[in-house]
Amino acid sequence: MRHPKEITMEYTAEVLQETVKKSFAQADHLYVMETLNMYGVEPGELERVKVQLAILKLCDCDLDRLMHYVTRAKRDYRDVLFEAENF
Amino acid sequence: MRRIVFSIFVLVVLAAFTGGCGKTPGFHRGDGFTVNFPPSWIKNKDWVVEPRFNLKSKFEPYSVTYVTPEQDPDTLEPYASISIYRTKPDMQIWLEDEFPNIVDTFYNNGYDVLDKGEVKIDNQLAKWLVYRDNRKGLLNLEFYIVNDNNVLFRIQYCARDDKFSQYRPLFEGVRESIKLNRW
Repeated sequence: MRHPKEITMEYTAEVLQETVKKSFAQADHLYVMETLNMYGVEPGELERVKVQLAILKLCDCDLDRLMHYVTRAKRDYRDVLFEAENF
Repeated sequence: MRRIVFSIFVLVVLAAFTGGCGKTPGFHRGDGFTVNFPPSWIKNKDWVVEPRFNLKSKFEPYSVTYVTPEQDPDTLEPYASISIYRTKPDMQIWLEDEFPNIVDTFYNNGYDVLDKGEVKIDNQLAKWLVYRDNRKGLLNLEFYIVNDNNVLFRIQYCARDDKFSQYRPLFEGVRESIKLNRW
Protein backbone atom coordinates (compact mmCIF):
# COMPACT_ATOMS: atom_id res chain seq x y z
CA MET A 1 0.00 0.00 0.00
CA ARG A 2 1.42 3.40 -0.94
CA HIS A 3 1.46 5.97 1.72
CA PRO A 4 -0.28 9.27 0.73
CA LYS A 5 3.02 11.05 1.21
CA GLU A 6 4.53 8.99 -1.57
CA ILE A 7 1.86 10.10 -4.01
CA THR A 8 3.29 13.30 -5.35
CA MET A 9 1.46 15.61 -7.68
CA GLU A 10 3.22 17.88 -10.11
CA TYR A 11 1.42 21.17 -10.41
CA THR A 12 1.96 21.83 -14.09
CA ALA A 13 -0.28 22.97 -16.93
CA GLU A 14 0.27 19.60 -18.63
CA VAL A 15 -0.97 17.69 -15.60
CA LEU A 16 -3.94 20.05 -15.41
CA GLN A 17 -4.91 19.43 -19.03
CA GLU A 18 -4.46 15.68 -18.66
CA THR A 19 -6.67 15.68 -15.55
CA VAL A 20 -9.39 17.63 -17.37
CA LYS A 21 -9.24 15.20 -20.29
CA LYS A 22 -9.54 12.20 -17.97
CA SER A 23 -12.27 13.65 -15.79
CA PHE A 24 -14.71 15.26 -18.21
CA ALA A 25 -16.40 14.44 -21.50
CA GLN A 26 -14.65 15.95 -24.50
CA ALA A 27 -17.59 18.26 -25.16
CA ASP A 28 -17.00 19.88 -21.76
CA HIS A 29 -13.21 20.36 -21.97
CA LEU A 30 -13.34 23.92 -23.28
CA TYR A 31 -15.93 24.99 -20.71
CA VAL A 32 -13.98 23.36 -17.87
CA MET A 33 -10.71 25.04 -18.88
CA GLU A 34 -12.42 28.42 -19.29
CA THR A 35 -14.04 28.06 -15.88
CA LEU A 36 -10.77 27.00 -14.25
CA ASN A 37 -8.96 29.88 -15.91
CA MET A 38 -11.27 32.33 -14.17
CA TYR A 39 -9.03 31.67 -11.19
CA GLY A 40 -5.58 33.22 -11.19
CA VAL A 41 -6.30 36.41 -13.10
CA GLU A 42 -6.72 38.82 -10.19
CA PRO A 43 -3.90 39.99 -7.94
CA GLY A 44 -3.79 37.79 -4.85
CA GLU A 45 -5.05 34.71 -6.70
CA LEU A 46 -1.83 32.81 -6.14
CA GLU A 47 -0.59 29.29 -6.93
CA ARG A 48 -2.77 29.12 -10.01
CA VAL A 49 -2.25 25.57 -11.29
CA LYS A 50 -2.04 24.09 -7.81
CA VAL A 51 -5.40 25.63 -6.92
CA GLN A 52 -6.93 24.63 -10.25
CA LEU A 53 -5.91 21.02 -9.62
CA ALA A 54 -7.37 21.21 -6.13
CA ILE A 55 -10.63 22.48 -7.66
CA LEU A 56 -10.68 19.54 -10.06
CA LYS A 57 -10.16 17.14 -7.19
CA LEU A 58 -12.92 18.66 -5.10
CA CYS A 59 -15.51 19.10 -7.86
CA ASP A 60 -15.49 15.37 -8.54
CA CYS A 61 -16.34 15.76 -12.25
CA ASP A 62 -19.43 17.83 -11.51
CA LEU A 63 -19.74 21.07 -13.51
CA ASP A 64 -21.86 22.83 -10.87
CA ARG A 65 -19.34 22.00 -8.17
CA LEU A 66 -16.58 23.18 -10.49
CA MET A 67 -18.04 26.68 -10.60
CA HIS A 68 -18.72 26.55 -6.86
CA TYR A 69 -15.07 25.84 -6.04
CA VAL A 70 -13.75 28.38 -8.54
CA THR A 71 -15.89 31.00 -6.82
CA ARG A 72 -14.61 29.89 -3.43
CA ALA A 73 -11.01 29.96 -4.62
CA LYS A 74 -11.45 33.50 -5.88
CA ARG A 75 -12.66 34.45 -2.40
CA ASP A 76 -9.82 32.63 -0.56
CA TYR A 77 -7.73 30.10 -2.43
CA ARG A 78 -6.33 28.64 0.81
CA ASP A 79 -9.79 27.37 1.76
CA VAL A 80 -9.80 25.26 -1.38
CA LEU A 81 -6.26 23.98 -0.75
CA PHE A 82 -7.29 23.19 2.83
CA GLU A 83 -10.24 21.11 1.66
CA ALA A 84 -8.13 19.31 -0.92
CA GLU A 85 -5.71 18.45 1.89
CA ASN A 86 -8.46 16.65 3.78
CA PHE A 87 -8.60 13.73 1.38
CA MET B 1 -6.33 -31.05 1.15
CA ARG B 2 -2.77 -29.81 0.67
CA ARG B 3 -4.12 -26.97 -1.45
CA ILE B 4 -6.55 -25.90 1.28
CA VAL B 5 -3.80 -25.93 3.92
CA PHE B 6 -1.58 -23.87 1.61
CA SER B 7 -4.43 -21.37 0.97
CA ILE B 8 -5.00 -20.95 4.71
CA PHE B 9 -1.26 -20.44 5.21
CA VAL B 10 -1.20 -17.73 2.52
CA LEU B 11 -4.21 -15.99 4.11
CA VAL B 12 -2.59 -16.08 7.56
CA VAL B 13 0.65 -14.62 6.20
CA LEU B 14 -1.27 -11.89 4.32
CA ALA B 15 -3.28 -11.05 7.44
CA ALA B 16 -0.09 -10.82 9.47
CA PHE B 17 1.41 -8.34 7.01
CA THR B 18 -1.67 -6.24 6.45
CA GLY B 19 -3.10 -6.36 9.96
CA GLY B 20 -6.17 -8.20 8.68
CA CYS B 21 -8.70 -6.79 6.22
CA GLY B 22 -5.97 -4.40 5.04
CA LYS B 23 -6.20 -2.24 8.16
CA THR B 24 -3.24 -1.90 10.48
CA PRO B 25 -4.23 -1.76 14.16
CA GLY B 26 -3.80 1.77 15.47
CA PHE B 27 -3.67 3.32 12.00
CA HIS B 28 -5.79 6.44 11.85
CA ARG B 29 -6.62 8.61 8.86
CA GLY B 30 -7.65 12.04 10.08
CA ASP B 31 -8.52 15.16 8.15
CA GLY B 32 -5.23 16.19 6.61
CA PHE B 33 -2.96 13.55 8.14
CA THR B 34 -2.37 9.90 8.93
CA VAL B 35 -0.89 8.48 12.10
CA ASN B 36 -0.27 5.20 13.88
CA PHE B 37 -1.46 5.13 17.47
CA PRO B 38 -0.31 2.34 19.80
CA PRO B 39 -2.44 -0.65 18.76
CA SER B 40 -3.69 -1.37 22.27
CA TRP B 41 -4.79 2.21 22.94
CA ILE B 42 -8.44 3.13 22.79
CA LYS B 43 -10.06 5.83 20.69
CA ASN B 44 -12.01 8.11 22.97
CA LYS B 45 -14.69 9.95 21.03
CA ASP B 46 -15.86 11.97 24.03
CA TRP B 47 -12.43 13.16 25.00
CA VAL B 48 -11.88 16.34 23.04
CA VAL B 49 -8.94 18.29 24.36
CA GLU B 50 -9.82 21.85 23.47
CA PRO B 51 -6.85 24.11 22.88
CA ARG B 52 -6.26 26.93 25.30
CA PHE B 53 -6.26 29.51 22.58
CA ASN B 54 -9.06 31.02 20.63
CA LEU B 55 -8.54 31.14 16.89
CA LYS B 56 -11.79 31.75 15.07
CA SER B 57 -12.49 29.46 12.15
CA LYS B 58 -15.40 29.06 9.80
CA PHE B 59 -14.42 25.38 9.50
CA GLU B 60 -15.23 22.76 12.10
CA PRO B 61 -11.98 21.80 13.87
CA TYR B 62 -10.90 18.17 13.67
CA SER B 63 -9.79 16.31 16.75
CA VAL B 64 -8.89 12.74 17.65
CA THR B 65 -7.78 11.31 20.98
CA TYR B 66 -6.45 7.91 21.95
CA VAL B 67 -5.99 6.89 25.58
CA THR B 68 -4.18 4.12 27.41
CA PRO B 69 -6.24 1.07 28.29
CA GLU B 70 -4.69 1.31 31.76
CA GLN B 71 -6.55 3.57 34.14
CA ASP B 72 -6.17 4.99 37.58
CA PRO B 73 -8.21 2.57 39.73
CA ASP B 74 -9.58 5.41 41.86
CA THR B 75 -10.45 8.08 39.30
CA LEU B 76 -10.86 5.77 36.28
CA GLU B 77 -8.90 8.34 34.28
CA PRO B 78 -6.50 6.87 31.70
CA TYR B 79 -2.83 7.19 32.57
CA ALA B 80 -1.98 8.94 29.32
CA SER B 81 -3.55 10.31 26.17
CA ILE B 82 -2.44 11.46 22.75
CA SER B 83 -4.54 13.98 20.93
CA ILE B 84 -4.26 15.60 17.51
CA TYR B 85 -6.21 18.76 16.84
CA ARG B 86 -6.42 20.56 13.52
CA THR B 87 -8.01 23.85 12.66
CA LYS B 88 -7.83 26.45 9.93
CA PRO B 89 -7.94 29.92 11.44
CA ASP B 90 -9.79 32.54 9.43
CA MET B 91 -6.92 34.96 9.87
CA GLN B 92 -3.46 34.27 8.49
CA ILE B 93 -1.15 33.16 11.29
CA TRP B 94 2.56 32.50 11.47
CA LEU B 95 4.02 29.99 13.89
CA GLU B 96 6.88 32.33 14.78
CA ASP B 97 4.36 34.94 15.92
CA GLU B 98 1.68 32.67 17.35
CA PHE B 99 3.83 30.36 19.44
CA PRO B 100 4.96 33.00 21.97
CA ASN B 101 1.26 33.88 22.46
CA ILE B 102 0.46 30.23 23.12
CA VAL B 103 3.29 29.97 25.66
CA ASP B 104 2.09 33.17 27.33
CA THR B 105 -1.43 31.74 27.59
CA PHE B 106 -0.08 28.84 29.64
CA TYR B 107 1.95 31.14 31.89
CA ASN B 108 -1.05 33.41 32.40
CA ASN B 109 -3.32 30.49 33.31
CA GLY B 110 -1.02 29.26 36.07
CA TYR B 111 0.71 26.37 34.30
CA ASP B 112 4.41 25.75 34.82
CA VAL B 113 6.09 25.93 31.43
CA LEU B 114 9.15 23.70 31.90
CA ASP B 115 10.82 23.79 28.51
CA LYS B 116 10.25 24.66 24.86
CA GLY B 117 11.99 24.29 21.53
CA GLU B 118 11.55 23.26 17.93
CA VAL B 119 11.80 20.11 15.88
CA LYS B 120 10.61 18.80 12.52
CA ILE B 121 7.57 16.58 12.15
CA ASP B 122 7.26 15.03 8.71
CA ASN B 123 9.71 17.66 7.45
CA GLN B 124 7.54 20.49 8.75
CA LEU B 125 8.77 22.90 11.41
CA ALA B 126 7.06 22.29 14.75
CA LYS B 127 7.41 24.23 17.96
CA TRP B 128 6.96 22.37 21.23
CA LEU B 129 6.54 23.06 24.90
CA VAL B 130 6.29 21.00 28.06
CA TYR B 131 4.12 22.28 30.88
CA ARG B 132 2.82 20.99 34.16
CA ASP B 133 -0.80 21.23 35.24
CA ASN B 134 -0.33 21.29 39.01
CA ARG B 135 -4.05 21.19 39.72
CA LYS B 136 -4.49 17.85 38.00
CA GLY B 137 -0.95 16.49 38.44
CA LEU B 138 -0.50 16.17 34.68
CA LEU B 139 2.46 16.75 32.41
CA ASN B 140 1.78 17.88 28.86
CA LEU B 141 4.00 17.89 25.83
CA GLU B 142 2.54 19.81 22.90
CA PHE B 143 3.73 20.37 19.34
CA TYR B 144 2.40 23.10 17.08
CA ILE B 145 2.62 23.24 13.30
CA VAL B 146 1.28 25.80 10.83
CA ASN B 147 1.48 24.65 7.22
CA ASP B 148 1.50 26.63 3.95
CA ASN B 149 -2.31 26.58 3.77
CA ASN B 150 -2.62 28.27 7.17
CA VAL B 151 -3.68 25.06 8.88
CA LEU B 152 -2.69 24.70 12.51
CA PHE B 153 -1.98 21.28 14.01
CA ARG B 154 -1.57 20.64 17.71
CA ILE B 155 -0.18 17.27 18.76
CA GLN B 156 -0.55 16.71 22.49
CA TYR B 157 0.83 14.05 24.77
CA CYS B 158 -0.65 14.22 28.26
CA ALA B 159 0.17 11.90 31.15
CA ARG B 160 0.08 11.70 34.87
CA ASP B 161 3.29 13.04 36.36
CA ASP B 162 4.45 9.58 37.46
CA LYS B 163 3.52 7.92 34.15
CA PHE B 164 4.94 10.48 31.73
CA SER B 165 8.28 8.72 31.19
CA GLN B 166 6.69 5.29 30.96
CA TYR B 167 4.49 6.15 27.96
CA ARG B 168 6.79 8.72 26.37
CA PRO B 169 8.50 6.21 24.01
CA LEU B 170 5.08 5.19 22.69
CA PHE B 171 4.24 8.83 22.07
CA GLU B 172 7.52 9.35 20.22
CA GLY B 173 6.58 6.45 17.96
CA VAL B 174 3.26 8.13 17.26
CA ARG B 175 4.94 11.44 16.54
CA GLU B 176 7.35 9.85 14.07
CA SER B 177 4.49 8.10 12.29
CA ILE B 178 2.59 11.32 11.54
CA LYS B 179 2.32 12.09 7.83
CA LEU B 180 0.77 15.40 6.86
CA ASN B 181 -1.23 15.51 3.64
CA ARG B 182 0.15 18.10 1.30
CA TRP B 183 -1.63 19.87 -1.47
